[in-house]
Amino acid sequence: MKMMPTRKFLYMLVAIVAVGAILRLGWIGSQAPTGDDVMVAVTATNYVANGQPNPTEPFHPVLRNLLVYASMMVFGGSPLGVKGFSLLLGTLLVGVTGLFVRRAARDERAGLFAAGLVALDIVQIDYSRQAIQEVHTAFFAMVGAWLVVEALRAEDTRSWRWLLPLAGVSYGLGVASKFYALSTLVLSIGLLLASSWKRRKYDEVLLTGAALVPLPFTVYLLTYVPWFRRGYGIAEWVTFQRATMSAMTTHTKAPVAYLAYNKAAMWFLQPFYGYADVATTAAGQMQLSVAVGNPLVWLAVVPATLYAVIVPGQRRRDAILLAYFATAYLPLVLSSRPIWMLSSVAVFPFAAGVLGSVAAALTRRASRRVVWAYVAVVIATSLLLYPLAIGRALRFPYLQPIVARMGDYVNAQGAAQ
Amino acid sequence: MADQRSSDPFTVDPSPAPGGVGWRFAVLFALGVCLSLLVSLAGAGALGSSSRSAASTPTLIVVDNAVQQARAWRSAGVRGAVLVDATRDLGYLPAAEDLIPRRTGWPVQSVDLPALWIGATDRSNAVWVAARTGLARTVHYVLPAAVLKERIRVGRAQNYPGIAADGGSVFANDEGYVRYIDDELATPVSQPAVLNIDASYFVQGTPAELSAQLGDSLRSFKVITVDRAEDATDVPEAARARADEMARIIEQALAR
Repeated sequence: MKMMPTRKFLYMLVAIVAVGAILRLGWIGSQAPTGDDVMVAVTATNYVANGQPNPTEPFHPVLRNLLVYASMMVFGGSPLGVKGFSLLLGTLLVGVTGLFVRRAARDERAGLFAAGLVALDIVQIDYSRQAIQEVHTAFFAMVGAWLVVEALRAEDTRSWRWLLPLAGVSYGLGVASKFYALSTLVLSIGLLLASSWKRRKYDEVLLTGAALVPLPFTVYLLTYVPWFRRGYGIAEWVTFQRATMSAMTTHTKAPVAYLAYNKAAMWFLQPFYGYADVATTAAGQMQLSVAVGNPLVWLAVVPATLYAVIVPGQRRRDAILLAYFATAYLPLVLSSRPIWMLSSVAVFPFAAGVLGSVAAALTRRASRRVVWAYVAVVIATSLLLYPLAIGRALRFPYLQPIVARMGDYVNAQGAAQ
Repeated sequence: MADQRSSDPFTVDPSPAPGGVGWRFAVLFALGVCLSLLVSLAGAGALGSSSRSAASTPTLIVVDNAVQQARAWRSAGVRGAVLVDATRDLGYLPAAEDLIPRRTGWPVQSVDLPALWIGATDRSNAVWVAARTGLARTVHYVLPAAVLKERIRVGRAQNYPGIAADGGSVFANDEGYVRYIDDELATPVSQPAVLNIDASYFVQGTPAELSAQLGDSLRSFKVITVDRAEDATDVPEAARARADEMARIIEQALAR
């Protein structure tokens, strides 16, 4: 497969990204800001002006504060100002997922399927419409993975000269959004080193090391410039990093109502495992968003993964996809602290890669009609679930069973109105 | 659209042409990146150092309460300082988040948090406000030994995570804001340093003990406040008298 995609692939990918953009931007102006949206804006200003990464999530890395501050400089406190980068990166993530899967599986149809799954996914849409940094992390980690796979598939490793530095910068931005971008960075380093070492290309080993270790670290460090302006030195920064990691790994919330859905291992096993966000309009009306995966997609991830692992030809074709999915997902499954659904935003695109690749492979077999019927049903059900992602969950009675699963929290919010 | 060529999935596909990256590029790139990292580290450290400030000569200020104390620090231009707080009361209760105005609907408004916190300063949160407004970058508490012992006993019963194995000190981690709680000033503090002596220290501690603890380091503090804790109902007049005595000792030490 050539590095450049076919024109047909590009046209179709652009069309899918456009659908993703519409779903992410639809009714954005009439969706009230959540408490997190408001506090992210306050935190962004406080960080840039005073070097204080609080009150929201001071234990997470700080890039979100810089991005939100920058977009607020342009668009003010409007939805585009507060959520601009989430909307942009959440939309671009659709396209980058397609490009990554295309190269990893050496199959353009697989890339299109995966991009489509990300474009339609309710959790992806929901968090692309929120100011918090879940989708930032997902985007930068996916860009890094895509560039690394482009390097692994390159016809001439001369292209590593630009692919790896760009991947390093992207991974740096990913880790500066949330620490769990580190897992796929480590895998990328391992894949590149294995490839170079096997071919005894030690200049590539050196380039890999420089581009994917000190370069991301430098990017990460630079996001702390406002923090250093509070008077801190490097030794204090190291202490601060250890303290924030400690705070992050012990962060928890009482497992009441939907907060009890805190096991990453259940994401692809239990239907409508989810997370809820409540906002109130200026007129006092409550808006509820519920981040749940479409069960037709999320419950298909495990069977697709098993298929990709068990069937020899598929395993060979999907080896990189499986490796990235496992690396992004397993640390969260094994984590001792609660992991809520919002962390799935950076994992699902890799899961969609495996699912998309298996679906693409099946379309070339006798089961192709079944696959296309499945695609049609996924599109239809995703549209039915779409109100969940845009704060309209309470408006449609057929969504009531899903809303009810979010439990007492929502009732308490409603009673407080 | 699929490319069915089989090859090792983890290696470059297909075999790359000779030449590739090249040693010259790899070495220059690695040197450039490492140099950038070193410059960034040095620059960040220098930025931190240049952002600290306080009065140029040691200044002693006696205040009646936490609000006056915070005002005195700000008047002395304290910023990015290490705060050494000799006290019984930690003053680190977070100001209520519900002070932040929660408007619903768009547009979202920015909030001047430092102004909000300063306005809410009281005895229960004065050190927290100092940390959250950039006045103090690190806090070292010096507690009377008996007070520290009791706090550690309670902390251990609650599985507080930062207690040292020997039970002699505490590393308090408030979501990345670190404080060191001890019964002595175990490590030399970096500049600028601010010393606060709260009258509550003398409920159980004595000026002689504290003078011995501070020793020669007293002159290294740019700003020294003695808070008479008039806003604390559980601090007796005897403790305030000892605080006044401590202020006289410091005054004499600085005059020497």
